[in-house]
Amino acid sequence: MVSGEIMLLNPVCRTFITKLSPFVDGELRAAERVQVESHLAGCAECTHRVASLRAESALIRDGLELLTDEVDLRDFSKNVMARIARSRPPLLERWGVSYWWALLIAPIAVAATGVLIERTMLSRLYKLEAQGFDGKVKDPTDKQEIITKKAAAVARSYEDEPIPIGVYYEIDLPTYEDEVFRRIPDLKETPLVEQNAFERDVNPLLEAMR
Amino acid sequence: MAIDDLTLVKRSRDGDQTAFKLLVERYQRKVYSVALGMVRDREEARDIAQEAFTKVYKYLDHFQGDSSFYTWLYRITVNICIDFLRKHGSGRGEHVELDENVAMDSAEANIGALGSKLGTNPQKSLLRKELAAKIQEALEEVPEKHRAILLLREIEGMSYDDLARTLDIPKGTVMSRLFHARAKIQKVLSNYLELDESKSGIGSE
Repeated sequence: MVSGEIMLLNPVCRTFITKLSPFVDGELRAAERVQVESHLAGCAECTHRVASLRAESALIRDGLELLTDEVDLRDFSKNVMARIARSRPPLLERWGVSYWWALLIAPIAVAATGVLIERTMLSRLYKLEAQGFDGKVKDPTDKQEIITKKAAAVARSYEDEPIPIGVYYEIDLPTYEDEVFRRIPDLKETPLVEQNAFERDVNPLLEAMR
Repeated sequence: MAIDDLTLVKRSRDGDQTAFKLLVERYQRKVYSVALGMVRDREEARDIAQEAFTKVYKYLDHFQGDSSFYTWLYRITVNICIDFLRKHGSGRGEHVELDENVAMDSAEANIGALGSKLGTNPQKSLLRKELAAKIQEALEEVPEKHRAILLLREIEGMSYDDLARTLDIPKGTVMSRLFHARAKIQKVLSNYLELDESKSGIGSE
């Protein structure tokens, strides 16, 4: 047979030729397969066509295998994972939450997170105390004590959890008002705002300032 | 024992990146082969293959699991390749649209020349290597949709049912496209062999 030549098929071959490709692929039903096989037994041309289809399949497979075997794909998966990390969609998109919904949900989420953090902090504090850790700062003016306690809390917290919590002050830091009342005890009993402007006794204040 | 695809998909969905890396390693060469066969450029093929896996990961939650993972992966790969070819042009094959319902003409039925030229003689391995390069060129002559089906069949060995599912076409269309693609490849290759016959003496068994 001369290739490239336009061939006129005999009518019998014409009915079988489209079945040769699925025949080679093993995709014909049993009955059709038997028909093709019996035709092939008596038709040299179609037998030749089947050989050609098989040769072509092998060529395509071999050809692409040859080409891809030469390619170094060692870093392929690493590059894919890096690409994934870069192209990771925003959290909201991944959760399928629209930005309008996010806007609506945000305040609730913030409140819930606040509660969660508070609970977590308290439970962690209790946990550390149960383990015998003393996180109380006895003297809030003692910077060294604060530093030491914080360092100890950090060290202990990292043992099992990433957020260092465990220092709190036994004595609340006095407010400005507390400090004034401490220095002028009389002022607490008769606050300045309740005094008549003309009767306002500024002497204790002046005294304290001295 | 190798972990099946579906288990790896589930683990990947739960955030296990090692599981997804295993899936990539399992299919990377075949996905790359399909991409290479489609676009005929090594670097573009590598890029497309990586994009296919990235896309698969991104839409992992959309994977229903009613089809195999690999049919889904190949569908994505083929679609990226087709988009790429449309964007960049793929040579003559790109513009040819065959009507699959029309019976093949007598020229397309010219299947058979390849067998006699090639044979199965192992001494012709050099010729096979040379032909492999020619196969690449021949693939370009095949319309992209037909090329995709041929590559998936030959590289992955997909059944006609799987091909139909992967490319979302009827089984009859699979059969028809495969036939047309093969006829085209045969025609290109046998022309090449005919031209080279005098030089290489490959025509004789």
